[in-house]
Amino acid sequence: MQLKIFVDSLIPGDEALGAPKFSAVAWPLLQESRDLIAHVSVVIKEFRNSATGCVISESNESIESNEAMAKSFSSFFKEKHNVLYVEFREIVMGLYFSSPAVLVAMGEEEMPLFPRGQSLPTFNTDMLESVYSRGEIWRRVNGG
Amino acid sequence: MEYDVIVVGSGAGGSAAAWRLTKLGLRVACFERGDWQTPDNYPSTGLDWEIKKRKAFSPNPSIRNMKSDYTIDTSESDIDIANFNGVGGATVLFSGHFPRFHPSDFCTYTLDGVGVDWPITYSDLEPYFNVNDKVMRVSGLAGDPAYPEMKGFLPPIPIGEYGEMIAEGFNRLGWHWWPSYSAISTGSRSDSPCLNLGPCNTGCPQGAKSSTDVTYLPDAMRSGLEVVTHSVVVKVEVTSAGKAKGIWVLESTGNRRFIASKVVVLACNAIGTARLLLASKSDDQPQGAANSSGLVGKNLMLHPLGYAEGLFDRAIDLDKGPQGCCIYSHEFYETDEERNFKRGYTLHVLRGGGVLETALAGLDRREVHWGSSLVKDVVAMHRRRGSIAVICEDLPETSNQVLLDESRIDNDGMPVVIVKYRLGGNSKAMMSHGLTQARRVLKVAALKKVMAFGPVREAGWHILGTARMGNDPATSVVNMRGETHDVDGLFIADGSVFPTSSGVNPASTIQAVALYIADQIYETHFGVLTDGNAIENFC
Ligand code: SF4
Repeated sequence: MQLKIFVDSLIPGDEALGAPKFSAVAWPLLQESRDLIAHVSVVIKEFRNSATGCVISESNESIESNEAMAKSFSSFFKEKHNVLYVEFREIVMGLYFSSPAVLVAMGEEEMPLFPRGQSLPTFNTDMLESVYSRGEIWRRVNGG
Repeated sequence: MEYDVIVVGSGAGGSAAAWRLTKLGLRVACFERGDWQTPDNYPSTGLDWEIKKRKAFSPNPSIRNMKSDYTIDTSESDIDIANFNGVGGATVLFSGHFPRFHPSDFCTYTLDGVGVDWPITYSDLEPYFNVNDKVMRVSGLAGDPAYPEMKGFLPPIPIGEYGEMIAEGFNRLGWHWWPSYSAISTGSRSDSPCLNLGPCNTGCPQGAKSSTDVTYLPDAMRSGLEVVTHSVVVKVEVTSAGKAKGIWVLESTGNRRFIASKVVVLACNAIGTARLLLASKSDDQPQGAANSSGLVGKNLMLHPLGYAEGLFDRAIDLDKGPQGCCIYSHEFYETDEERNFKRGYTLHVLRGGGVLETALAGLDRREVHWGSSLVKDVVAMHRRRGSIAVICEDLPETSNQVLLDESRIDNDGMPVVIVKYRLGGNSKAMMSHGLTQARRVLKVAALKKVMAFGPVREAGWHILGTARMGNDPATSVVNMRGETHDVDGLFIADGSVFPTSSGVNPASTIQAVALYIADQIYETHFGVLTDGNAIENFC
């Protein structure tokens, strides 16, 4: 349960945009990364035992919205266990920002790129006028 | 049963060579260590495409870890290797940016006193470039002042508002730019026109990008080519008289099987080809096959790559359109004696990535923060980061090399490949110049917070050298026909044979060279090319 609180403090969502918190959309998927969970849980314990972690977690009742804890935990994690932090970041961000609910809240499409496709206007060659008018710039060589 | 020709590797070079040889009526088999791809599974068919892009479809084999990947130790290299081990090879994951080498790229020693001259010229390859452009469905715009005349392209890829804004920057500086040449099918007459999805470098589910599994190979198979998958070639067999006899294949069952062929063509990229040659030792060739010069594996070139990036003050369309095909500049392509380096580079304008990339890059740059502002921060940063890659010409150096570590064995039962590669002084000076110029363009195009960095470690896409082409057996591995000096009937048809690297993405030239070598194979071992089957009249 601790891990859930910590991840939600890092990714609490955004009420104004209607973006849910991490655990509401990606918690079950994160359970698949068993090794990661085990390792991060150890880091959380370490953080709680650290001076900052102790103070912050004891001084707040509503731990889930604790901005200060999110910031100190991520700094602690990044500094003490950088390789694991990068892997953790990659996985939780990946799961969160692939969630349809989150993408829709951000104003993104809910459908995958394919076969939806995207349109762009045809290229206007007028912009190349100055490039044309400068003339050939390739270097001629003997024998082609 | 004996084949006329066995081609090892189904990537850019192998597919093109196999296609041409099959069309010339030969009995050809192409051996591939991986499998056919399933486009329905390509990342952009799902919302989680960025997760797949970074793992299962990563260009880095040590991250991707597919069954068909082999270990490449890059701990002594400034640049990691990018590849793909499946039917289509690296073209499955390439961006499709498809410029040709320039005429000057074939004679850098004569022109600038660096590198080495090729024994063939741009003119020799021109008909092969033209055929290749057709088969690979190349889109682009004729009239580029940076090249000799080229024509017959499909309509150019749209450059969007993003491309126009950067192009405006080039125009203000008075510099060359041009829409990308792209191996991507466009236009209303195409069966599978590009849908501007963006991440072509994770595989194209639409079939618009011309990876060779959707171009050369299906066409060649209709003409009789056999593509044999899940077959790892572990040795080239050479007779004591110095003639290629066939290959040893490790099948998925674990069995080793000998397959006979009159001619063997290696096209496993400059690492895979060198690895196979070095591993093909015998009593007669104790240094490996075709290695009397000691140069197999040497002169590895990797195109050091740098990035300049900046922020637009609002979101624009930079996530639409092929990520690696927008516009490019050859303003600094040729040697200028005023500069502290020889040769030059491409400025290659890249489009942006997805939301996850914005989030992760934003965290690194402290533009995105954990906590309650996270989602807002990502929304604010998305579609705003423009970038220009600097693709530097890499000069050949014998100290940059591929070798085998006999003390370690990989999954194929072969010695582990080691890449030893360090950036040379010329490349460093060129990179620094290129990053400065790329920054200038972005600033003039009104981007903010412009920064630049290079060489980028995860950028070893363009793997060249390691079995150089030349006339002198003491200083090269293959002759001007692509046949090894030492072994009759053993040819190489990939970027390994490149004596120099140019400053452009090499896929187009790898394929033109492979088609040219296929004709040389036919003429030296099988018959005579006539008006009826000459490449000019072929496609
Ligand atoms: S942008 Fe075009 S070429 Fe690239 S993946 Fe999409 S459809 Fe294919």
